[in-house]
Amino acid sequence: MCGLCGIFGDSRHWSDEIVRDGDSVPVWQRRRERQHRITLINKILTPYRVTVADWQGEKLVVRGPTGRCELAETVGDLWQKAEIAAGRPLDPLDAQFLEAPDGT
Amino acid sequence: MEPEAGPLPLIVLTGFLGSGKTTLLRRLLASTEFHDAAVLINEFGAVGLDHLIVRNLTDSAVLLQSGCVCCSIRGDLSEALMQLLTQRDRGEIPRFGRVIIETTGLADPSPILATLMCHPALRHHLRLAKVAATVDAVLGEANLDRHPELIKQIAAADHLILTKMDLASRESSERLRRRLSALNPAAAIDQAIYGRVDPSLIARLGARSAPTMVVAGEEASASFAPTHQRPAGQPVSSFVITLSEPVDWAAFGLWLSLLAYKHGAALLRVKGILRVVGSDLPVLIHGVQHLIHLPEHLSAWPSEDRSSHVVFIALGLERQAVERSLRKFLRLENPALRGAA
Repeated sequence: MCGLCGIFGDSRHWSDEIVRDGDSVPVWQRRRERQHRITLINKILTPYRVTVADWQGEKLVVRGPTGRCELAETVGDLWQKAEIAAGRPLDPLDAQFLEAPDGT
Repeated sequence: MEPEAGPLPLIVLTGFLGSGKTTLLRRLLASTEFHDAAVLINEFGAVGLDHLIVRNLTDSAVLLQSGCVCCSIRGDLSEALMQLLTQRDRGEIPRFGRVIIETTGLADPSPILATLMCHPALRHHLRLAKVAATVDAVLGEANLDRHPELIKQIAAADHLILTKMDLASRESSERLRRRLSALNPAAAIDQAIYGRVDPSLIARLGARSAPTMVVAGEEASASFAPTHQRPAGQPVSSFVITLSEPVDWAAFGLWLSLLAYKHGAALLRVKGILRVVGSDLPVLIHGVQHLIHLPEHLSAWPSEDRSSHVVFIALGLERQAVERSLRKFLRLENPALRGAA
């Protein structure tokens, strides 16, 4: 899968893979992992005033500071949609991002 | 095993960063044709991992630690080969019947071939049987435009193996195939789908046939100049980030996906072994540019070391910023790590 668009082949993103010992992961655990991930995404996007919410366990609703909404299929296209919603680029190596207080 | 008459066949396995060399090597080593192979692995990185990945397949995997074969350690390569042959003759290691050299993804293979053919002792013990190059079917065209090393690898190859065919469109893979044929009309072109290759390819690679290409020694020796400095002035940097605490997979995955989204073009290679919260076994990650593969569970740790190591080969990315960024993401999950460098 491509980190740029996330849609080579199927709609699964590589980071959706739940890294646990054993073959099967129960549904409740998948839901909990998904919620955990959304919590982290919201912490990452706080400086950009962008929020993300789950939609039916299938998509992500990305909402910007002006109320603009975007739907993301997977984490693969989340960042592009978050940039559109924020109206500015996201860069994990940007000094401003690195200097921002953790999780605020 | 039948005693080998004459020089042992040697295969050079090359291909650009992340194009699937190690995956192909693992396939080869798991086959009956290559059960008797000794392997030399060269990686351009502060910490090599490939030898750990193939160690469970062969006892004769050796990692050349001192950098890139192509410009700095021809001496190291010939010494390692001579050491392997000596140990074989003394019975210190299994009596292998062939040798495979997996080059770094940045290597220009021609000096390696020159070393094999011109070394006064090696040329009597080893003979070049094949040069095989893996070419990423998704990124191959873009890599051809950006990375002159790839052109040298393709030009030197007897066999070109188009990898990741399952991820590439028919049009783009056909375009790449035509371009490869134009670059090296003499090379056979095969393909790998989901990492699997045609068994006949393994048989052809394993055939103890005479070398199918000849490289003039003087011409090969003339290209020893380092190729790691990009024409645009951006250096290829290689660094490893080590994490002693188990990492939260969600935080790590989000970080790497954002890094690949924003800096994928500069991210020539990322490869790591991770200790993940909630799992006792290691997880292997591979990525090249924007493309990150599904994480792979290993059945055991390759050594006593239980730390996570992530190796980066990148164009113009600073280690300090990359590490700070990763640790910042990991602190989102575990604020107790706050204050860690």
